[in-house]
Amino acid sequence: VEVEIHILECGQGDTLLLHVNREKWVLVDCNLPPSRRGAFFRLVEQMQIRRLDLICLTHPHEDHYLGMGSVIEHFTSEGRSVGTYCDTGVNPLEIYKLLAADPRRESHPGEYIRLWNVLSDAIDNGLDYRYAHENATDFAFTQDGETIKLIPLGPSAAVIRSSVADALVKGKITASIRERLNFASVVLALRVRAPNGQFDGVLAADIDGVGFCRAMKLYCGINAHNGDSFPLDFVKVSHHGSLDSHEGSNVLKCRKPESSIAAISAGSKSAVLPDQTVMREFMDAGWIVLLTSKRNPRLPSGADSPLSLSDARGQLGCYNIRIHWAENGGLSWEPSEARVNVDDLDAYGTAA
Amino acid sequence: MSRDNVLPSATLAVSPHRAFAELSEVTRRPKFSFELGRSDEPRFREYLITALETFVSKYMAIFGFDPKGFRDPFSDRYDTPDVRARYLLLDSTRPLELTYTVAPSVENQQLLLDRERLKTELMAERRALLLERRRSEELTSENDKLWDCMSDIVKENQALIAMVIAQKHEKVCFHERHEGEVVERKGDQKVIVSYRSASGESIRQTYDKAQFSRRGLPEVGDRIQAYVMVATDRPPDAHAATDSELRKAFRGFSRGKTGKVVL
Repeated sequence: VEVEIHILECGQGDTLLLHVNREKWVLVDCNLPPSRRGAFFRLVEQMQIRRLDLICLTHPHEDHYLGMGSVIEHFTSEGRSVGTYCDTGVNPLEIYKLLAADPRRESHPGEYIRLWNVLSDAIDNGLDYRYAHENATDFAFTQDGETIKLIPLGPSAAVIRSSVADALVKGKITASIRERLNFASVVLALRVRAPNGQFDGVLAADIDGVGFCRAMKLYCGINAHNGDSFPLDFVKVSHHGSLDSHEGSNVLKCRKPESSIAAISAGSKSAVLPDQTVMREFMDAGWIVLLTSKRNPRLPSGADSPLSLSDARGQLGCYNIRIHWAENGGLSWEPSEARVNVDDLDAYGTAA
Repeated sequence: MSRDNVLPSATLAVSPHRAFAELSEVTRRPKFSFELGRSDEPRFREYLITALETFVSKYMAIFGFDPKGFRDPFSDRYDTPDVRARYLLLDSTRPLELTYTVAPSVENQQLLLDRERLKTELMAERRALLLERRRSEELTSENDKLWDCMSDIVKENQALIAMVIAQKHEKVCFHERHEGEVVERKGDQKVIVSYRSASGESIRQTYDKAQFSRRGLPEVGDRIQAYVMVATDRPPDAHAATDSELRKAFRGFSRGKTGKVVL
């Protein structure tokens, strides 16, 4: 049994590929503007991905759904296939209203409609569409239904509905209203219980600190564990390492005694993402912190991996992170340049 | 004339204090004179030595000379009677006047010349810098003007592009043209324009200076023409979606399922 997590550097946002047991592929979110789609499709050809067994959209922000319509279109043509698609289950018409009211051109309501056009066609043709909120769906990768599972930990349908409804009531979209949609982000747990080892990883999307804390309580319950934190091998840090998504999350306590990895996808430079304070706290608590892009000019910039999708990697020194866990091989990661050192932290800002 | 016969009849006309005051005016002239009058010899010697000590220390302080570099005829004789004899001998032809010339050493002279040259060069550099600064200010000013022009052009372009985009997406409802007159000017920041509506009502509109191009605010009495484009406020992307398109796009939503899935 083995799992691989690829966190692709795609500018601000998340594009994650999970490779489970060397046979199943899962795409969690994507931020693929038209200029990067060609690179992504070349990448999936290179990795010989002909089928996405699961696509998950954690929440409807453009840095998580941009290009997803094209991805579904690509994988539902020329002999390729998509098994299941899941999202929060929020009414897309409500989301569309919010996106259309957003004065920023980046909200791309047209892309959202395109996603649903393609998705609806695919559902017509047999695509399995699932709601992925708390206690709604479990995704098993083995026939026994237990060995490898991807579990949506939350938020609850009620929280999702209220987050969207709250944003809709406010009418005019502002930055704070946009942030409220983060409260409706699906948190996914990748749980492996193999005869010779276990792996626990959490992909936190853009959930806020309180939401993450609640998700971990749910995971404790799933694992019959008393307490509010569960030891994890890996966490994809929420919201590109922002302070708001970190405070109150309890995530620091989720480290395993031997080693745990906290990976942060690229964040906005203007919005102080990733936050220096967040990275420092992870490191102080003993986590290994990996980052898809580094801004520290002292670090080598040409060490991009062949998977890197970023157009800006020459300037920022961007990497795709690959986390690998094998039942008999333990946890490993690459590339080494993606690891953030304490000395690098001063190159990052903080909202603290 | 013996030396002893001359000295008792000499007096120091210039006190050490006056000598000090004169020395303070010495800038570039390494020359100084004492006038001697009648006096008895002990006072003369005392005054002379004090005056010369003051002179030498002040002179050196002014020019920053190293005392060792001075060709000071008294430096090793202040405490000896030869001081008096030396003076009298030096000015034997004019016993009432003593002239003492101080000149810097050759090395110090070279330093002075270098210093003067550097000062000259510094002044030239400063002048060049000043000219460059003036030129830079002129260019900056010119640049600011160009930016203002460009800003105006961009604003005008934006208005045109907005209209073209709105027309392309069929958002434009109508165009209007209004004529008015500047009826009041509030300082150099605001003007009030009065328009006449189609129904004959007077509509007063206040404009801020920032809204005008670099040509500035119009004067009271100037005629104003306003061209207005009225369009719906839907973003271009959103406009593509009609209700029927939305219903078609989102039809898959209601078919979502829950429960365990084996992938």
